[in-house]
Amino acid sequence: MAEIKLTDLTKSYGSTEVLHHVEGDINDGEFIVIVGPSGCGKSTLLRMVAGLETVTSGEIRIGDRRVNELEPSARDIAMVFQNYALYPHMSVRENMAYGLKIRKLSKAEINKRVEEAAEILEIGQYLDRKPRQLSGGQRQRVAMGRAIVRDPQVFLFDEPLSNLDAKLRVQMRLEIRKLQQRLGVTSIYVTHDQVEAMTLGDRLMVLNGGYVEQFGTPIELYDRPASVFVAGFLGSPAMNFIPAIVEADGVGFARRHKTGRRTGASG
Amino acid sequence: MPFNSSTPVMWYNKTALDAAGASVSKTWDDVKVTAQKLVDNGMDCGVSFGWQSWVMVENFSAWHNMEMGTKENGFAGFYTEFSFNNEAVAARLDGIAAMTEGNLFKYGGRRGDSLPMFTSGECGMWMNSSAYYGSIKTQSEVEFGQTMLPLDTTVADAPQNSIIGGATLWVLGGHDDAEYKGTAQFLTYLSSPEVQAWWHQETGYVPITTAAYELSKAQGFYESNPGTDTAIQQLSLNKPTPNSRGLRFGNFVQVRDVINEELEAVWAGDKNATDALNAAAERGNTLLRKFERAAK
Amino acid sequence: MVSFYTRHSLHAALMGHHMLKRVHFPSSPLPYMLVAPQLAITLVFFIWPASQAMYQSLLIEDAFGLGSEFVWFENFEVLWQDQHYLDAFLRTAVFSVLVAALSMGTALILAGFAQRVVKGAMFYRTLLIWPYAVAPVLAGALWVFMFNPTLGIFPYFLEFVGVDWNHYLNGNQAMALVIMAAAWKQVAYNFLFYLAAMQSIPNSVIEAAAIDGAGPGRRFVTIILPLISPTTFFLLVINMVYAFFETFGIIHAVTQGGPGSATTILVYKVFNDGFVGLDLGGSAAQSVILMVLVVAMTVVQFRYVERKVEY
Repeated sequence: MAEIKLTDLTKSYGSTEVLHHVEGDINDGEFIVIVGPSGCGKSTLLRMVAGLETVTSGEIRIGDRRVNELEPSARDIAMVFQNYALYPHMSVRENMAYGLKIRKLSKAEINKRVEEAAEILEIGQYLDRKPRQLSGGQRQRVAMGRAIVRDPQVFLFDEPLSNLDAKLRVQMRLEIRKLQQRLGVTSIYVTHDQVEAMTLGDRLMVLNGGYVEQFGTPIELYDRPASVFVAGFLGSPAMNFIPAIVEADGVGFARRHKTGRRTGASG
Repeated sequence: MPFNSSTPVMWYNKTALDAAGASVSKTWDDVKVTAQKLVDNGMDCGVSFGWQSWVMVENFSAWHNMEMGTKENGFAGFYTEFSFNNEAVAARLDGIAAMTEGNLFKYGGRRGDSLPMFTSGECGMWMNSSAYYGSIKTQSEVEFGQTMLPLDTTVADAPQNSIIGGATLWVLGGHDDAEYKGTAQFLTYLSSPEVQAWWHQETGYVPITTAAYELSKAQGFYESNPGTDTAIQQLSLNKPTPNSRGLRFGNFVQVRDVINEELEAVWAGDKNATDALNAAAERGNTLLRKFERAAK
Repeated sequence: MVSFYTRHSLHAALMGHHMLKRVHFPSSPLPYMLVAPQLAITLVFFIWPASQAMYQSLLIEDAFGLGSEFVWFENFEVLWQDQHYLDAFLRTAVFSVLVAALSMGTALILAGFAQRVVKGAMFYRTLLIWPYAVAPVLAGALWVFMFNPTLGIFPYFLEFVGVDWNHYLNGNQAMALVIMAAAWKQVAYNFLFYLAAMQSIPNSVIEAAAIDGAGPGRRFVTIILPLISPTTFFLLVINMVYAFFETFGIIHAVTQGGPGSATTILVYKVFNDGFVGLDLGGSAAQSVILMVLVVAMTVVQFRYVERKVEY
């Protein structure tokens, strides 16, 4: 279990900066959802935490360690990929045991952990099957299982539900949430689906064009959006916008429609 | 029409012989002594050769007036048997194999692969076709000369004559008269003294007409390039006997491969010469029998 | 028969709606015309020469093909009694396995590195593919020059480490040389397939392994190698067939089968006996045996591939 601290984090590809000065403190055991339209940099940010992308400047800390320079394997994290990234040539059991074997756990310990995880995820009867013999939902569970058995400090989810059908997606969403609460592992979850974001996260980080638009609880974001983008991005049906010009009139603010008609002052 | 005909001669590195205080070898005993002197004087190897079946078996036999196969080396008809697996050839080959000790002899491949060993100054003596003259003249980094093949004094008192190797131009039947006229003109051109003399002087192949030889002589080629008539002298040294007239065997390309294989086993020290020659003769006879059946 | 018929019609009745959906192409010459060129090529370049070889293997012919005698299987009997021919089998097996192993191993390593290269990847890949365009005889000539005991650059260097290189005399060195030359030429082909296979592995699988704690070496062995195993089996067949069939040019240029018969493999004997020695019947018999061998090898391999290489 650990907190994560992102400080002035920037990512550039050549001369193109794709993430700008990202700041964020994630508490121990918290479930954070990074949400934003495609191309906003949310996956890049997650992959930087995972160690799959280098950090251009700034700092990432997991627990009390600076991890910028650490290999993914040394960061004590587990990740669930959008396409599950199961090892196709290994059985479900071998998939889950792979990381444990590398860490040289005893056979008994590996078996115990794999079977516990299988029980939690209800995939006990599939342990000897190959991934291609499983449905999408079952593969998803195996991917989760592979993350759980490692007992890591941090879970990273990269749009794990986007390949499932609508009904299964709702069901799995619930299960992920319950599982995370039960295990109490700090988690970062990336999605472009605002419903998923609002229902899953303790707090949401809304990214747009590489900038953090707002970082707060779902209710905060919903009630007090910090920007027009956040306001428009969240909520269904979408929030109504009325174009207006704000100007000081000595007493407070007044809104003036484009037509020039003034309406009552507020504030 | 015979065209590119040659015969094996012994090439030598003049500079190296002089430096080692050795004279040009006339006998195999000389070759060994000279090779030792060359190596003692710092050369990598004394002597080497190529086309070993042709040079060391076929021509060695003719040069010492020994039969290579029965029935006048095949000229008298089918059902010949190889007889090159005799004591004289075996003793010579064993003698050469013994010279691999101390690099007096170094083997360098089946055809002309060992040419660079001579032209780069690695080996002081090299036995192979007179037709390497052109290559040696253009490539050699050393002063070179050619002389007759060495005599094995334990086998004969004097050399007989060497036999030719090379290729022949054939005219096939079944074409128009006009084409044959053209062909005739071309062959006349090729065999004209001027063309033949030029071909002979540039390549080292022997001239196919006396006129070309006389022309080369008149042009002063042999005087200004001593040794270049070695091949001609070897071929015409004596009236050819049935043993030195030439060879006519079926499947002979394969037989030569067999001889190559067996000789390589001798140079590598895997077999003694007697066993190798016996094996070669036996395998060769099988190929002869096969040829006879096919040609019947 | 009756019961079958009944069940069949019952089935047809139940599945009637399916039957109706089945597509029937009107018979037309078009499909036949479309496959005709391929059939013609197969007939002219495979079936016809192969049957000619089979027929010739039953004959004893003179060099010009003017006289011939039908001898049934005598050419084959002669081969079975020829110790030199039998020796060539073992030699061919050693040669083929080593050529396949060396060229596939080298290609695998190169592909592994090429895949990691980001800058100038196209440049390296293009360079690595070049040798495939080189004719076998030229490839052989190239290696002959590099390893010429007198002039070659490698014997010069080998001398410093105490190796006296003379492949004209040393059979093992000659074998090593033809194996290197043959393998070198095939590396480009193997490289292409390995690179394509590696690139078809989803990046996320490799990343997942990295997060699971596997370093580059371990990922290569436990993830990449098993996942490209279908390519490996395919290449194994291709390389064995290459070594069996297409290497006579290299051997002819490098060693002519020598020294002794150290590098005389089956296909070189076919080439040498047939095209140099003009023993057409014996050569045809050898090529028929080779053909049977390669067909058998291919069948066995593909059965094995089907059963074993699935995940």
